[in-house]
Amino acid sequence: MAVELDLADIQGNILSAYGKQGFPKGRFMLFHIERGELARQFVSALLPMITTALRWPSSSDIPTGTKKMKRPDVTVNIAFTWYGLVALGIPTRTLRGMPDEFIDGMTARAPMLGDDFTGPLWKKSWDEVWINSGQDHGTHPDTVHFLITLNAQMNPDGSAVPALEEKTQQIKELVQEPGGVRLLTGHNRPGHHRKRDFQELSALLKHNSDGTATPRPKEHFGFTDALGDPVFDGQYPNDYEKVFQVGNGAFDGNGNWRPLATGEFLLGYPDEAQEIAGAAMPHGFSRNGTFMAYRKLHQNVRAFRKFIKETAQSYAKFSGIGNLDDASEILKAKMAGRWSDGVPVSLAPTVAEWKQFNIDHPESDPNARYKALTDFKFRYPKNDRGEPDARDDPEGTRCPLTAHARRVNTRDMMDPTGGEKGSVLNNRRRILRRGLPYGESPVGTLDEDEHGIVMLVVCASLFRQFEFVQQQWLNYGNDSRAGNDTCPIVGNHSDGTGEHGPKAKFVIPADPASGRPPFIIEGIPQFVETRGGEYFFVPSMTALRMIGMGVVDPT
Amino acid sequence: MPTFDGGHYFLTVLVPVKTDCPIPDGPAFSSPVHALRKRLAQLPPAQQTPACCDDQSPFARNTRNHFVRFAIIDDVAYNGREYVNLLWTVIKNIDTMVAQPQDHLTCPFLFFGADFDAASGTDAERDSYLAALWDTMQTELKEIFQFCVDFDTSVNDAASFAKYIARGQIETTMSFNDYYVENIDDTLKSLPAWPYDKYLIPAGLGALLLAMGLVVWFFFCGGLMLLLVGAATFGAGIWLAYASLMAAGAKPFPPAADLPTVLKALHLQRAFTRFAIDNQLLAVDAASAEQLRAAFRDFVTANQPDNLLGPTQPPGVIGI
Repeated sequence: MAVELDLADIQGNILSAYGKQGFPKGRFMLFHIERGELARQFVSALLPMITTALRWPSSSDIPTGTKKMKRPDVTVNIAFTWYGLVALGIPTRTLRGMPDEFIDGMTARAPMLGDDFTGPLWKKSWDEVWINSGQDHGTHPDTVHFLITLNAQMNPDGSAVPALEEKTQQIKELVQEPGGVRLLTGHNRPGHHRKRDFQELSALLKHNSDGTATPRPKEHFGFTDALGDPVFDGQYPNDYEKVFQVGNGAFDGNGNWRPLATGEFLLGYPDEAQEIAGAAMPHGFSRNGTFMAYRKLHQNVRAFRKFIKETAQSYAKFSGIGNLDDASEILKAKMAGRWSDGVPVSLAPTVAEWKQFNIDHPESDPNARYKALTDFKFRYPKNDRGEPDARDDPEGTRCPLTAHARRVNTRDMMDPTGGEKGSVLNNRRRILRRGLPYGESPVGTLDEDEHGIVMLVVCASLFRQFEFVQQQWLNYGNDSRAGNDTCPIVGNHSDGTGEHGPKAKFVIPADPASGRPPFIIEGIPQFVETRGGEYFFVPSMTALRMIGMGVVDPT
Repeated sequence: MPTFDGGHYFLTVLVPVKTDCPIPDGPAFSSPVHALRKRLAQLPPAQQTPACCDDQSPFARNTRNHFVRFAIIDDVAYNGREYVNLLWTVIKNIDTMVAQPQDHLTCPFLFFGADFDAASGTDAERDSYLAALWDTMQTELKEIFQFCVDFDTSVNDAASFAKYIARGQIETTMSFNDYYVENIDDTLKSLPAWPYDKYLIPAGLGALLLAMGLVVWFFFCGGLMLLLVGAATFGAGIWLAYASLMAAGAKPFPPAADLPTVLKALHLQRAFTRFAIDNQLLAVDAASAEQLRAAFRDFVTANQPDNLLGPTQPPGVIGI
């Protein structure tokens, strides 16, 4: 019996990545609670505006039920920090039922996340709005207590629809009446003359000759993003689930894909360990809620482009590739695990195969292309005649084991017996990625320019899922059989001068049968830096009602 | 034989801690187990990260140690009341209101576990390791073991230390080998197969005779000798098979890697990575190929791959 979710009880940003579903514009706002009883009224007043997971008619034709929901111009969602729940007057018994990492908050977890990589003053480089948050055991007046995320549709010219500003003003009015909360400002570097009220976000846009703009599924380094979001039981109606689970669900070891367990992404449901994990009481407070890590990730676009250009020259010399553009594309693809347009390197390991893949799976048929982009594994068994499958890639000669996409989703690897059955080690460490890019990165842009991505990581256990991926798979290389090598794109990169060991490196393995050695890239600059963030609880609509009414009763 | 496996000796020791209390400990008075716990906490760990510490574990002073651990066992854990079926309590007239007895240790114990290189599982190998410990860190050992029963009166040199530790040795029933094999399937295939036919055919024959004997006994009330011979053959066959399996399980795995080899391998891995990075753009033509050969000759000369003694990585550090 498949899981039937009460979509009206679940906040919509858990099940849907709004950014790629027609809401390419966004504003994220942070608040501090000054008076708990008024803040509860604020939550109650906001409640009717919250966007739930109820479906509206969409291009993917997923059934919506008998009553057709209107597609909103702007979606609204809310999430709380642990100190926010304290300020709201949530009972101690509920508060102490929360997970350690959520109580700690992201700042206290910096050594695990690698956010303190630059030394004791690491937090000075964060945006001003985050710098004092959580200080003095959460008593600092700038401590972030809750987050409101707005995602908006776009005008043809690339600007946000007017409803985004209207909704912003409505929320600001709620700050005045009933009040009890304060909008925190400073979504920019410390010392900036004008503190920003919110984090402005936008998908990268393609500006057309007729003055219109089209959102692109890209991030600032130029990669097509958000292809590998996991699919879990109940997320889609059954027929659609069967389609979407391929490549993005859990691999069952016998060549089949199934949806991941609901409890990996929503509290109150059985998870991949086939148990309902303990959560804060009462059950109705936690059920249909989840946790979210907010990560503002600055991208050093200039450094990335410069590095690729320079390294491509030595790689071209090493590999005998005459075309520098091809060498650049191969480098990027080996680092990411996908070509810049999203084509998996493991399916098309050479430029010629990449081009052929795009001929076979044109963008004119997006559904078939999406399936082709996601339906792959890293291990393929021998055929009936005992001959190896050319796609079988246990050593990473097609897609390096240390490539970004292969690190964060090991798919059918990690089989403890060395076989092709996959592992629960992967299925217990999947994360939903929401969020949008911010800023622009035109030709000639500088590293100091404001551009990057605000990633919202959604999962039932930040400790087991997000923090594990960040610490073990991105900032370490043991599971990728690469020692201390970190992710070549988003990992921390030692410059060889401090206490972090020798210069960061990345190895492009070669097939031993080819007689060629691997190519080793040494001295990778820091491409991604954290500029702010926090851990949030994303309550269900039931829990929000309980909070607003002040009736959270854990007994 | 888990005490010795894969060229490693897995030593497990329990030493009783004194209970005479209070004892002077600096300016204050304390219990022996409290003072011991403090000494253990002050023992520096190995330099596992560059940011770890300036001190170095005294166990890094020799090249036989893989893992060493001290722990204090204060008491046995109480697992709660033993379950008794409710019907049984009625039949046996057990009064469930009466508290069940609990087991406790008469004194705390110091646990000492070590995984070190050894040529065999003999006592001489163990004693030579303990003598090496005494020779390299007797100051620290005295600081620790002074709180243990009989140490002061019975230990004054390496030999007596080895004898003292041997008194507290218990069998290691499950060892943790610190180097995993690259491919489990290949390792298992390399082991000799258990000779099924040698043991199962006699047992099967015995079972057949036993069955025939039972049939004869049931239908003809005779054939007692057949029954007895069948039962004996079957029983002996099963017992021999069991004994053979247990004996096979007790055989240690062949030696895998001793510490000097591991340290040398780590050094070579790091040095060769450096060599590969520095020279990877060579060998594109004949001239640079000769350059590469020369560079490799220099690498071999400098790093002496066959010489375990050096150049190598020192023990107790992470060599990043």
